[in-house]
Amino acid sequence: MSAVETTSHFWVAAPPLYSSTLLVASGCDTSGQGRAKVQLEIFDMDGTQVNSVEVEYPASEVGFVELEPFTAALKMQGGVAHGHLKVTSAEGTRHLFRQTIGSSVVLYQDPVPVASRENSFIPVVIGGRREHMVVLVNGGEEEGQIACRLFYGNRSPEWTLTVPGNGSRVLSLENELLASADQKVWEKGALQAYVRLSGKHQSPIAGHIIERTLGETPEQDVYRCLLSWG
Amino acid sequence: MDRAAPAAVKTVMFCLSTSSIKTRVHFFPTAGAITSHQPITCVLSLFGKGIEKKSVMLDGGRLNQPDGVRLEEAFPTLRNEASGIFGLEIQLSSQQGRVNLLSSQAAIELVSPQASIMYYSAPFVADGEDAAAPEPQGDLSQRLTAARRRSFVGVGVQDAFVTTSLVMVNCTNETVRPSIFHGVGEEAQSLPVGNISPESAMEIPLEESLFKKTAPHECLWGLSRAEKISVGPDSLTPHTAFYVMYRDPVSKRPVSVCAL
Repeated sequence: MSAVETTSHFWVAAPPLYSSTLLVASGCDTSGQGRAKVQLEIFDMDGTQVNSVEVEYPASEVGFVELEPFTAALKMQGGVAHGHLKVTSAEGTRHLFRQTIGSSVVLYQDPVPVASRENSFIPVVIGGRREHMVVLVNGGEEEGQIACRLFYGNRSPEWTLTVPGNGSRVLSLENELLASADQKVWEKGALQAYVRLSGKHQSPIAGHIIERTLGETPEQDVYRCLLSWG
Repeated sequence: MDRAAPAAVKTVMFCLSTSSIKTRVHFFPTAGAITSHQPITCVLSLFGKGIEKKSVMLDGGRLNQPDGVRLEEAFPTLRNEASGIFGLEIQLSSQQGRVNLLSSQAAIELVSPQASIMYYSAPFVADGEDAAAPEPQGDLSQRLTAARRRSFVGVGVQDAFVTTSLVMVNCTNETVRPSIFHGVGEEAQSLPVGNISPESAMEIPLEESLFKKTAPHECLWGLSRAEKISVGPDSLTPHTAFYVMYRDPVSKRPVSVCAL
């Protein structure tokens, strides 16, 4: 690995609902000769490292790493076995995350985490047979806090959420966060809202939202991943 | 007030308007540590094939407060007359002196009855005379700029669930001939994408033949091929933007979009 590296932090969850694959494309300065390396570290939701592996692939190709074999030791929280995937490669490498959620496929690049006095936002439509899971990943080694403010209608309740160093957390927007708000206007129908994430500590925390639109049966549920700046 | 801050910042995106897909645009003016809610001016400019470039100023924007609009409300021409892929320039500026808005963010939501997707813009850059200004200072701005450098690189994917297109947006009034490559290192080859007309957006599907030399990977969902796509650094200017769009190969609906 070169002295200057590219590091990405992804949220990873275990089957059967989730399946994840990492795609790795070497940077522009690569000769394309020989083999390239990517270092993977997987932490459970509390930030304990449960797996570490170095994967080699031909530098002239895009590397594929299926993550299912590395997720067996992840712990359940919020109904999902999940954790934090830290990916380290040579400078300029592009990490692309392919996640299957139910029957939906999403591809995204590394989310940019927010640290102290930084903000990011996620548009979200609440109500109307939709459920949302707020996903937070702490890319730092220290415990971090993030302020999560939801703008909807003329309301903007805020919650302070804590994520262990190297850990991850999931929270139901409707059942855990909005349930504590005193106004339920969002329950009446689909309402455009915005989540604003503001870093409170130096620990960089990346956030995104997984939206589930309920179908007639669970098999017909549609999922999508709403990233903050991914 | 930050005297080194650009007077205005902008980003360039694309939107779709068809009988089944409509666009919502969302933006979040932010200036790092500044927590006030001072007024922010947001100007949307729509351009593309078959329409004259039009700009609309949105009222009521405030620093640190996300906002958004249905694009059809801002540009009624999208309701009936215009259909296809269009470029969209989002410009943000403060009404109260210079505030460093470079860490602002924008997102486009492509809304369809079957499934909607959302993608984030390439990072905001200084607009106008400030376009050649020094690179932004501040942790998030610097990380976004670093991400932009890294994102000269994208990944084209082809399998039973995903096909890939390259979307190129040119908001200048001059023709642009971008340098796009596929493959890695010495084996990288130029991708013939042609010219981008002035004030236009175009989508170029990456043909199956592009992936023929690529070794297939046996994945849980079947065979998958991936090819590195990169944009020559000279082709990335404040006035052009490149995105990789993944589509469902059967329904053709967009699945994901990543900024280059």
